[in-house]
Amino acid sequence: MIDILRLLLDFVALYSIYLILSVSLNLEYGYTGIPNFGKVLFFAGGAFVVGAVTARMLAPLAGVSLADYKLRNVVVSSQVTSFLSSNPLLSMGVLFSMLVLGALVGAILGWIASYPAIRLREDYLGMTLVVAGEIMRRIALNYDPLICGTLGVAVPSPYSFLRGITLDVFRTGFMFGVAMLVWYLAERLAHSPFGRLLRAVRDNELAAEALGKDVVKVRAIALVVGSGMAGLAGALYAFYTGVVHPNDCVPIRTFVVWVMVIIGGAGNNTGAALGSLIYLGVEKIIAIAKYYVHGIPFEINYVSYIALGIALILLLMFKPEGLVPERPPQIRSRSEAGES
Amino acid sequence: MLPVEVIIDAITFSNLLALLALGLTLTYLTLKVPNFAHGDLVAAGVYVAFSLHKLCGIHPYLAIPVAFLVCGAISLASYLLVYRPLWRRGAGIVTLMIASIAVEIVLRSGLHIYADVLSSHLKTFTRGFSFAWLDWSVEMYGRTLTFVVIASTCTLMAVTISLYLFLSKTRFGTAMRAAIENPSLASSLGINVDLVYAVSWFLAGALAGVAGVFLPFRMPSDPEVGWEMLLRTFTASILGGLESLMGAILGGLLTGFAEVLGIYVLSKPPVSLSTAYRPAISCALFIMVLLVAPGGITSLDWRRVLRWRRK
Amino acid sequence: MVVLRVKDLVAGYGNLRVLFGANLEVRRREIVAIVGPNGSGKSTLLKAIAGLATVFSGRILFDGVDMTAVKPHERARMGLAYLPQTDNVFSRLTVRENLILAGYTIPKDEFEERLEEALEFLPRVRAVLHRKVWALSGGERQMVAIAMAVIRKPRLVMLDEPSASLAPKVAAQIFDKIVELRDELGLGVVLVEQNARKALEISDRALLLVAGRPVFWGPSRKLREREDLVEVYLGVA
Repeated sequence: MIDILRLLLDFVALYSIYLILSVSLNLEYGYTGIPNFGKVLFFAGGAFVVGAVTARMLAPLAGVSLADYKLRNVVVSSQVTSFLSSNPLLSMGVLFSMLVLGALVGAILGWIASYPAIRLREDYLGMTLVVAGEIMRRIALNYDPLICGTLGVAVPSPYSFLRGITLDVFRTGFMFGVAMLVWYLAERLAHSPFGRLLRAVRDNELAAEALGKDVVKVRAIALVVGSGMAGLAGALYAFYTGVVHPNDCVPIRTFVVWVMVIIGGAGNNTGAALGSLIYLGVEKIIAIAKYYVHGIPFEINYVSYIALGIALILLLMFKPEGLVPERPPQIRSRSEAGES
Repeated sequence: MLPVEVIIDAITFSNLLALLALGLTLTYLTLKVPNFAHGDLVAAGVYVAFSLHKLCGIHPYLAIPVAFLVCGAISLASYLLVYRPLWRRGAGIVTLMIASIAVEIVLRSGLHIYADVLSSHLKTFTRGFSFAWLDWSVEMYGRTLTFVVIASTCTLMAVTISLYLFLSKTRFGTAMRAAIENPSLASSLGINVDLVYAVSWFLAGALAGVAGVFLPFRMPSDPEVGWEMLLRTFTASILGGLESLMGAILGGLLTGFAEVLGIYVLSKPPVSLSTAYRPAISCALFIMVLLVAPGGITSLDWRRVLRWRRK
Repeated sequence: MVVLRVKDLVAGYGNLRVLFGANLEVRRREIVAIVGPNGSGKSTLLKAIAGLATVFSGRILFDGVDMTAVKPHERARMGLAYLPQTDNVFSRLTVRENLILAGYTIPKDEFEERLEEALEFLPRVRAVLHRKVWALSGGERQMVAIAMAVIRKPRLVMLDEPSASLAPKVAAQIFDKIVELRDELGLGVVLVEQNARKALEISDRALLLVAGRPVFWGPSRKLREREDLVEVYLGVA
């Protein structure tokens, strides 16, 4: 019974993270038309900063030595965790502040990325963002002071003041709450004048400019906000898994988010939510199936990737607008029409 | 000055990149989409050579024609099954890029599965292998070289010359150049633009496959090697100017040399950079090219030439 | 004798209508000019005839054959040569290569003969045969485009503003060549021109389009005499 609950909680936790990522990509691509092929870069930014900072920041407070950090980081982390477990207020403070920091780092990276993102053509932009992600991963792998290079770094748990199943429930609930908040904010943004502006820029850049809208700034804002969300997701993820490793910054993560957005339908947040659900659901089913299928000389994961790739191609060919197509904004009343 | 090993590495690597960049630019010229799956065609070539060697005892160099055909076929299949249908439905660049990433994932995963199956069948390692021990040593100018340098250089030269002759001297080659420059004008003259595109995609894959045969002679190989080569290929193509075939070859040579020589120099004091940063050099070069001359070196030349002419 | 007949053509792009009911007729050994202010649908009319614009209603008859279902490159094979305003040559190729491509569908044994005929007609092109097109002047480029059309032995040649961005002297040479298309080769020619004065000078009949509607159709001589129309719609050209 507990196991099924744990399974469910794990699923919801992962869903929360990918929901935030999908919503952020939807904001950038669905609403504003920026093809962000480097989503994982901003996600990793948030995750890496949590990994790099949390333990090191708290160690002196906890009276834990930071000597030989790379090799001892797991020990350091668990010691910090036990320190936190007797300090719920500090734990929550750390959680919140690190989440904010993660979002901030993501946003800053997004701001830096906005320079090329706005000026480059989509094909160059696609290549650039992928390359940038790889640079980030390379540096993380080799520059030990960041996240202990190839070992990866352990992250202290700010949830440790709880125990057992309560911890899991609280943690998942918190993550889901954050995800819902992000989703809600994205919806508000989408239905606001700014949201309309984003779509105007996406659909007809020239016309938007002719109307005096600063297209460059609008795109930059969208990318910064989206990247901030991704950084937030990364930070949440780091605290959830308790480990940050350079290979969390692999391009396939970006691809997975794209699949979610396309399955669900770009251009609306419901689609993003639905797409994430479907993808994760399928992935979970395949993972479970893995337990029951034996005697296959290769990793089942690869089959699921192949299936995903084919599914995506078929989707692009036959239903590119996804399951929840974007509805053109409807004028509901004369006053609304007069307003815009 | 520079150790022979480094120069051999530089030449071989550059030849590889030139072949890859050529293919990437070729497909880009047709549908204007950077093919993210291009790197995996190299990996496919690696495994064609590896399989033939392990299963049939054929020396990798002899596998070149097979790799040429197999990888060309895979590339052609991706064009016929994925890119062309999407393009005909009016898909934009972003959609095609996403599709190419999907194809990439499928290819790479397929190679992983193949490697695993082969491993359990042959009871041997199918990752991290090298062909270096199969190579021959050649004495030249009093130094010992490995044959792969000569083989890859000759192959590149042969490819360059035959491509040049094909494109400029044959009727179909001229039609190809026309179709690439102005497809609607070409088709109004009765040229089968679709056939031109199909041939381009086949050639691109075939060249990548040939590069894949040479790769394990200098680098340990596994299914991920395609993705690693992809980023360098992007750099090479952009450096050469994404619209120029000769530029692609040049870009490949320059990028290869920059990376190998660069990491050699940087790994020495006073910088003492870890050699693990080697791929980062290509990435850095990529960013530099975009900042300084996004059109690549072939776009710069004209300005210089004009200034000379005015003098 | 009638090569092209256009009846009540309504055409445009996608869902946008630009041309409202054009009527036109071109005979062999005749130059028909299409003139009018900017944006009046002149280019659209040519594109519709070539099969590159959307036809909403009306008919296009080429040599008596209804062209509605005929694809653009098939129209080209049927003898309809269309020279758009831009992108009518391959800049990166040499002149000779352009001509080879123009003659792509001609049987190989006939090609050399046709090439020779085209070069006879356009000696300027012979002079630059081995140069790359981007290195040519505007006038020479247009000559190459005309050569590419002539080599296919069309029955009708449609030119969209051939003198645009050319110096007056060079433009005059182009116009001379267009006249030779009619007089020496006996072709039907449709000419869209901003330079209305010159167009009316060399053409036999003319169509004046204003905002997509025909305002005059008849002998060019007559249009020139209509000072009211000339002054209002055709400017001081």
